[in-house]
Order: sequence, then structure tokens, then C-alpha cells
Amino acid sequence: MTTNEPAQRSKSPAQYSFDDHGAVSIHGSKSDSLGTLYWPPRLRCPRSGGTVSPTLLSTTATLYSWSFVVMPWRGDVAPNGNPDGYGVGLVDLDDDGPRMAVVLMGDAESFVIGETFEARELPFTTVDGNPQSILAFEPSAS
Amino acid sequence: MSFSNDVFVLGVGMSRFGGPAQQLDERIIAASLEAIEDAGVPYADVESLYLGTSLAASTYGPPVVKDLGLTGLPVTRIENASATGGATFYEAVQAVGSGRLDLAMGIAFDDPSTSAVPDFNEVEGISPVLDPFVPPMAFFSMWAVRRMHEAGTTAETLAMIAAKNWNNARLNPNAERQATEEITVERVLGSRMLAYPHTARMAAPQGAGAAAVIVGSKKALERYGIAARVRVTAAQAHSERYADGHLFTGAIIGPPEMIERAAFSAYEQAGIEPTDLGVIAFHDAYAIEELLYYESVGLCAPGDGDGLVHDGQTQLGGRFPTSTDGGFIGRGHPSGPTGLAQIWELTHQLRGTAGDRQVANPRNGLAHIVGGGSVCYAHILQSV
Repeated sequence: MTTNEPAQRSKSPAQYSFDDHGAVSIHGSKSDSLGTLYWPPRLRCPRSGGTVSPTLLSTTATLYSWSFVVMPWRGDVAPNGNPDGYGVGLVDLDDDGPRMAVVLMGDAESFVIGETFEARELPFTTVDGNPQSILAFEPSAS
Repeated sequence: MSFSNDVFVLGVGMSRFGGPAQQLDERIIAASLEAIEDAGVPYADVESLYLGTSLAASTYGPPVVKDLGLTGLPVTRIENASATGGATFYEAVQAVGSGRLDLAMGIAFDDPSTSAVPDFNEVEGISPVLDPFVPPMAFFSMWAVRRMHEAGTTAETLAMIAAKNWNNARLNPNAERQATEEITVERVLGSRMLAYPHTARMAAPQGAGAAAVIVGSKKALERYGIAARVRVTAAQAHSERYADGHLFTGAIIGPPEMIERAAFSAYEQAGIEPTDLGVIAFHDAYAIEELLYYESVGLCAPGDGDGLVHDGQTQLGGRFPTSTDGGFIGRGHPSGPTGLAQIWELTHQLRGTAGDRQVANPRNGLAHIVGGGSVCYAHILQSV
């Protein structure tokens, strides 16, 4: 994987990226007038209509809610390759960051609302020999 | 916004959602002819036609309704995700309520099995808004887990809501789900898990369907000698405002504030209170929605929705009968026509023609529907 290149994820703008060591960068926007943080990046501030600037968001977060998806959507593969399902969560990024809907790594028993989670690179498949990764979060303790 | 002119529901029609294989064209024409016959007005006199679809190809719709008559009337397509039917009704009502027209028709339809709409993530140049790994059901399930965390709600409560809607659907010949025997809480809980805590029987099916409505002014009633039976007393359309924890990706149904705002602005327009409602139609694509919406639209205080369920207050014989036609979970949710199916049900309930699922003398009905993106429509119908 190339350093600082956006994840190869279906024509998306840079919403997150990984470096050669798997370190995660989450790309967002900051309202120039209000300071409100957004993810994914916005073209304008949804609260004020004013300008925004690119910013990197915190990669640690607090779990707001979670679920465990047993039936992948439209027959898509589970990101963790587990036929029993995979976790999803709403996480509130630290430092007044926005809420994100993300894949969670780990078992359902490890998903505790209010606990701290950290961003991770989750490789899940290859396309034409190229590794494909998505952003995921896992409990900080693991 | 208030109406300049009174608006009445003159006729409704609907094809059964799901059910035996049938061409969408046939469903559309059948629902439309039923509405025309129910209204007792000639189609040639309809002054504007609104076609609601969220899944059909861009040119589909106007060619089909040519079979109703090439009258030269304006035909406009409407799309607003799951709320498309609500949007279609809203536009027809506004056309009459503003005084611009005396007779307008809405027809809405979809067949999810032949959807012409590409996945968001497959469109070059458009940022993905829906992560395939966090599907719509996951969002509603995360609502449910948060609710369980905050209020102690159990999966059994969600199953009670779903079972109610399945069993109401058994009394509706136009419902997609037609269970041959009563659906118990145990059967709902025992069905296949989709995303914890929602099982398959707590989620809406998506068969094909069509529904239609004709609305008219007082002048139209007089012109055709029709006795007014159902009046539209409020029509509200809303979208999101920024809130803490706002999401900008996913199957966004919007923050609770939008859900609440749509309902209460409708109450204000109609001059009623939530306690005046006698029948309610919700966007219960997943059981957690109906539970949360009880509170959002003011049927009970925040946190008291579980008690409403356990006390049977949302059953057909309860204080606030909800999803009386089966709702999304029982009647089905093709997408486009779902909102007009709500109007079909409220109209029959307010007329007293809902058959075995008739509730006792409802005076006001609320049709409340949300659409991803997100938008929310609230309509109040009143028996007259």
C-alpha cells in the first residue's frame, strides 16, 4: 500500500487513508467560522453555509452504539471474512469530532457503549491482486 | 403553511403489495382505476397528475398512465426515497390547498426486483454515502441497541410491535405478508437474525406495489355531488437541521428533532393535539422505529413507549391504534407507493370501511413517513 494514498475504496474521495505501517488518517472538514468538525469532508459548512478547511480527525473514539450484522447487505462479503457476521458501530471521535458509522473489529461481547475504540486498517479482500482495506475500529484494550 | 382552500380525499386505490407475480404496469392501472372509481370523478377532469417512484427508470411512468387517457394534463414525477409516496400526496394536496387546482391525482409505484437505480457507490464521481458494510438495517439496529442501553428496552418489546403489525396485516387483503396463523412474539424472536437485535420478522418486506389517490376542493365536491368524508387538515414536509451526533453517511433517517418537528407542525396546522389521534401510520421499516416514533410524535412521554406497547395501547383496540394495515412490516414497503398506502388505510379507517381491522370511530389520522437523505412528511386526515 502506498504511503498517504487514499484507501482503494470504490472511487471515493479521501475519507481516510493508511500509511505503510497501517497507521490510519481520517480526513474531515472544519468549519472556518464555527469550528465544527465533519466527516466525511464537506464542500461547505452544513451549519453556517460558510467555508471549510481540510483537517485530520482523531483516530480514537467513544462507542455510542453497535450491532452485529449477520446477513451482509446485497450478498456482499463480510469485511472480516467471518460467516457468522461482523460488528458495526457508531463512534464519537475524540476532540469534539463527529460521529461515524463504522465496522467494528472483535466479538459482540467486546462492544461496550461508552468504551474507547481506536481506528484500524482492516484488509478484507484483493481485487486484481491489489489489497483492499477499509477503516474499522476496535476496542482500545485489545 | 396553511391551506387557502379546503382539501378532501375523494378516492383511493391500491394493488396488493407483493403477492403473486404481476407486471408493475398492471398494478399501476389497477390502483389508479380503483381510485378513479372510488372518487366518482372522470379521469378527464383531473387537472394534474403526480407520479411517485424512487426505483423506476427515468422514462417509466408517464407512458404507463397513457392507458388512463391521453388528456394532456401535466404529469410530474416525484422522488424522495422511502417517503416518495408521502411526497406525492403532499404535492397533490398543495396543488389543491393553494387554490391552484380543484382536482389532482397522485399515483405511486415501485418494483424493487427491477430497480433501475444504481447503488450510490457504483456511480463515478459521486461520493459514497452508504457504506456497504454498514447497511440500512445496521443503522436501525444501532438505534435499538442504544435504546436498550438508555431505557432498558428488550428485544421482546420490539417483537411485540412486529407481531402486532404482522397480525394486523392478516386483516388487510392488500398486505404483502398474509400469515395463515397468528404470529406470536416467540415466532418473531425465533426468526433469522439480520442485525442484532432485529430479526427477519421485525423488518419490512419489499415486494412490488402501486397506490393512488385523488384529492379535490370543496368546489370539486359540489361539482360532482360528492359528500365530503375525509378532509386533509395538515400537510407538512421537513428536512434535517444540524444536531449533535449528526451523521452524513448511511441510511440516514434524520435526527429525532426532524421526526418530532414534522408531527408537531402538522398538529399545529390541523389545530389538534397528539391525544386527538385515533389512527396512526408510521415508517416502521424496522420495529425500533415504531417504538421511538410513539414518543417523537407525542403519543407518550420520552421513555414511555415500551409501556404503551406492553399495555396494548397501540393495538387495534387500544388508545392509539398504529400500523393498522400491517405497517411497513406487514403491509410491505415497495418504496414509492408506501406513503400512498398509508393514505389508503387512513382514508378507509376514517370512512369506517376498514373491515375487520376497523378501529372505533377515529376522528383524526396521522400519516408519518421518513425518507433517507433525510426528509419527513406528516399528513393529518380528518373524518367529516
